[in-house]
Amino acid sequence: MLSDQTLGTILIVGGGTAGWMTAAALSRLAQNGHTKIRLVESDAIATVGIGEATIPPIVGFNQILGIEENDFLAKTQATIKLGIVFDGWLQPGEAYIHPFGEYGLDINAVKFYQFWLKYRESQKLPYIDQFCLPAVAAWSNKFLKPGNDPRSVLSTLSYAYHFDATLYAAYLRRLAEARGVVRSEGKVVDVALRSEDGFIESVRLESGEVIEADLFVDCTGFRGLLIEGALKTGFEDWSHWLPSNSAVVAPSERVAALPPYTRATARDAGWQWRIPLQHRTSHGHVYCNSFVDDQTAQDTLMAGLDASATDEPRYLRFTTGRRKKFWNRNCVAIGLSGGFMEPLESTSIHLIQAGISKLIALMPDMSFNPTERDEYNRLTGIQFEQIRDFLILHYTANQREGAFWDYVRNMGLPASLEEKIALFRSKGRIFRFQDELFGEANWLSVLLGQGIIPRTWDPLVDTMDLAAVLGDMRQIYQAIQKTAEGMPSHQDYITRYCPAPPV
Amino acid sequence: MSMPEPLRANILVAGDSLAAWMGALAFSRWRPELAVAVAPYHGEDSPIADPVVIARPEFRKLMAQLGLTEADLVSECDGTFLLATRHAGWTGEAAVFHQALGTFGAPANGAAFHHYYQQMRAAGQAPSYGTFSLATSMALAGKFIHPAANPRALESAFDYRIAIDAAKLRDLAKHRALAAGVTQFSTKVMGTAWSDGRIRHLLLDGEQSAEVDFYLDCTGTARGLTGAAGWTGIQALPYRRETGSVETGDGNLSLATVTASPDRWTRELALRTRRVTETFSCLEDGLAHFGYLAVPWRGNCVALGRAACDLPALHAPAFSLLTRELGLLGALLPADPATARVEAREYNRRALTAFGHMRDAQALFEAASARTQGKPSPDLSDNLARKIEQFTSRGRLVMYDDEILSDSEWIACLLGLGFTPECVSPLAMAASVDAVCDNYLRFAKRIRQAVERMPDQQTYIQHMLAEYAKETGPDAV
Ligand SMILES: Cc1cc2nc3c(=O)[nH]c(=O)nc-3n(C[C@H](O)[C@H](O)[C@H](O)COP(=O)(O)OP(=O)(O)OC[C@H]3O[C@@H](n4cnc5c(N)ncnc54)[C@H](O)[C@@H]3O)c2cc1C
Repeated sequence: MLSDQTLGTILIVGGGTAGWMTAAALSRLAQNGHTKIRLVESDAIATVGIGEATIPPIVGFNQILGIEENDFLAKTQATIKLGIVFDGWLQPGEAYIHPFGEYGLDINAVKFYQFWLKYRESQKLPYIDQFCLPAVAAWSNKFLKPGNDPRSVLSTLSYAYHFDATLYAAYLRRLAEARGVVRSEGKVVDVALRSEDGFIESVRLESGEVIEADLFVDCTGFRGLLIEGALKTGFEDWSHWLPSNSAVVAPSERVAALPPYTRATARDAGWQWRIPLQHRTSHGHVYCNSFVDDQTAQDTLMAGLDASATDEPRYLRFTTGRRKKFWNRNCVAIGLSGGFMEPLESTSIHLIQAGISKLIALMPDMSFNPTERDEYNRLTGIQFEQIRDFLILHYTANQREGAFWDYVRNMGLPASLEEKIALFRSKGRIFRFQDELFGEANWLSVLLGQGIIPRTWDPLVDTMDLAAVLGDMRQIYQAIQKTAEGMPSHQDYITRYCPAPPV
Repeated sequence: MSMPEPLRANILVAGDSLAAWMGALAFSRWRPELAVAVAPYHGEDSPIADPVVIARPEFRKLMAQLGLTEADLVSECDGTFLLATRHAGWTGEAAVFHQALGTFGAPANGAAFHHYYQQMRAAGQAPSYGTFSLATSMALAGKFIHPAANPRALESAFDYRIAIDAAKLRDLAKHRALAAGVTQFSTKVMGTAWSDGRIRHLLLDGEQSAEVDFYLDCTGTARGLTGAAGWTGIQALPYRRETGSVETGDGNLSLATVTASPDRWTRELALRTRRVTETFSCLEDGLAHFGYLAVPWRGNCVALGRAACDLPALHAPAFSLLTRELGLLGALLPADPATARVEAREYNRRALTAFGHMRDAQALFEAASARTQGKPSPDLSDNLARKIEQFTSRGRLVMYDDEILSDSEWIACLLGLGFTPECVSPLAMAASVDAVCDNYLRFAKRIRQAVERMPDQQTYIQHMLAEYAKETGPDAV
């Protein structure tokens, strides 16, 4: 059922992770036989080539695209991610995990962690992560896919992937091209705007070819060639809250026992990641160059590798923040062109995915009614802010020494975050806003991990019989420990289901 | 002459309303160590404002906390399971649609069913939207079962509300609260002494006073403790209520009907032993008193029920809001409510959000009939205006935090009231119209077949009551 208002051509500019994820997802629109999806990318301009850790919604994204999981894992040198271990964030020598899954089970409709808060000291309970399957599995390098049976403990586990970003883009490119997306190679050197309304009319490649389209998706990375270069949309700088502005990255040989988690280790002026892949380990040091010089940052990175480096380190610069409008006229910025908040919780690829699904839900027609554009900008803005608050939380409650950590401890907070922390401190309340990416368990893991312990707990806990509650807690603990014990090692899982071809 | 010693407790609930006794019961369960007392209010004209209240699924959690069961509600409070509401006449005499919980149709290729429904409609092959809802089909046939636990079974794809005799529920809550140790003061509350944003004490009949840590104002529209300060009126047509009740257990228990004409609307539904009809007729010259308290939790006092928010009767808002208020209070329940500033701020924010959502659900109907029947149009909140605009533009439903109506109810109402999307999701356009019709007509057939196999609600309830009698002994029913 097409109307004469249906878009004719959608042009995606940029062939990094954002460009090819968009192309693969929009290729479904081409099934209407009318809309054409094109992508132009330049071999002369490299992609950022990083962005290798993800969060659980990626599993659903791949499923919607009809991707067979094991095939994808093998072809992108991927491993499984059950969470992020934060090492030294509260203070050096202390680590906690932000796992992908729930803590315990509610008891009489009261949240499990409320009982833990009350009894953790008097009953000498293990740390709360021992009541969370993905955490227990992660700490012991185990993995098994969650089952469908909602009664089984295994169903409380969620997971995501670590993959080679370049291979993922290549994988999606094959899929998108097979579904009719037309790719052109070439550098965009000019963008023509329509005189009457300032909409983008066409882009011109170095070869002279002019490509016209109705809707343009800017996936050109940090440079924002269309959204900023041509449309001058403006950028909202968040570096006063998220001061990191640089990264130095280097790969190393892979580690022997594959950990099913990302590790983020706090450093003097930032932090360092370790992302395990099948063929190598990816490392990067994210820092603020007002607090440390590049060479020192590089030395810190290299000293922190747990295997020998396999390539030269390379540097990246960025400014944390967001584009003032993600959708301006007939151009939608998806990926780094829309904004970047630093990779601490692996949210960038998720924002790409979220941008795509919102675009599909709000797909304009030739009339470009502002209703859709405004709603897209409103929703994306909310999502950026929610993620921003969650990221700031990691920094604000630190007990580390040094100028960088003093700064992030003392900087003012967004009011939205201040309120959330106050509610948690007073009685361990966490309220999730609808559509908020990070839910109660995510917030809980970081709040507790950063040493924010509520003064008291839900008073309903006091009305329940201690022996019965402890009995329930023990059962939950045992079920989780036993399930984790019975899982194969992460390495065995990979070897069995999705080994990558040797490089 | 010396004043008598003030009466003391930890929590004092003012009022004799359903809200009052639900609140007292809730506190006695949440905080058994606290002394909870209930005192009537002198100016409370009619403690039971609604003859029937309707509990939405959200009530289940609170119900469990209060130690109540569905069987209690059915047996002691004349309860029935309500699966759908048939709306007629909002936008013209012939306009009929059904509002129900649970899914309508099923999504395909990433697009929700209503996008495909628009295509079927355009192709002239669409039976009514409710045909694709299990709850609606069950309601029309007067059937009932509880939803299946297996999420893959067709019979899991619906939910239900419970219609309850309000006076009987009040009595049950009162009975349980007193049994749990709640004290009932016989002297009436006559006045309130506020200072510095807190209640210092209450003045009771006979020169007595009461001084407690925390107060609940459950005095209905009298707003005995909170007073008129901070009452924010809303523009809505004032209505006069006439209630009729027919003693018969016959007829369809699963379906409620709402029939609107330009100057009145009537709701009819069945309790277990009688049918209740309520007509709300417009009072052109009446005073609009509808509105809400801008700060329902102030200092050491929370207003609950009608004292906090009073809205027109469509969608039976009073009990939904009371459920939400008590749920919030329970979730935020501080050890010392009287000094809980952070909790109070959060409570107020979320209670006001709930009031706004409820009002939006009503204003949608008023806006629709204003369009077609020349009535004054209500002010639309930004949220509702955006919801309508987004839906009519691309069929996209905007859902906000803490909504009261479910997404499927919103869609059924929007479509039923004539807010038709101008175009549908591009994902739904990829399939051929014939295939779409074919698929969904088969889906509707599966629904019909499943409904045929179900018992009618009368039989289902009889069975339930027999079980209940066995569990609670012969005297209980
Ligand atoms: C240090 C760091 C670590 C990160 N870690 C993570 C992580 O762990 N998890 C995560 O989710 N995200 C992470 N990210 C973010 C992630 O890398 C990006 O979101 C993702 O790679 C998408 O990038 P992109 O496609 O928007 O941009 P790019 O990869 O920069 O792609 C830009 C594309 O545009 C093309 N292009 C540019 N200019 C032109 C032109 N003039 N003509 C034609 N083509 C042009 C280029 O050829 C290229 O194909 C990280 C980012 C950084 C900086």
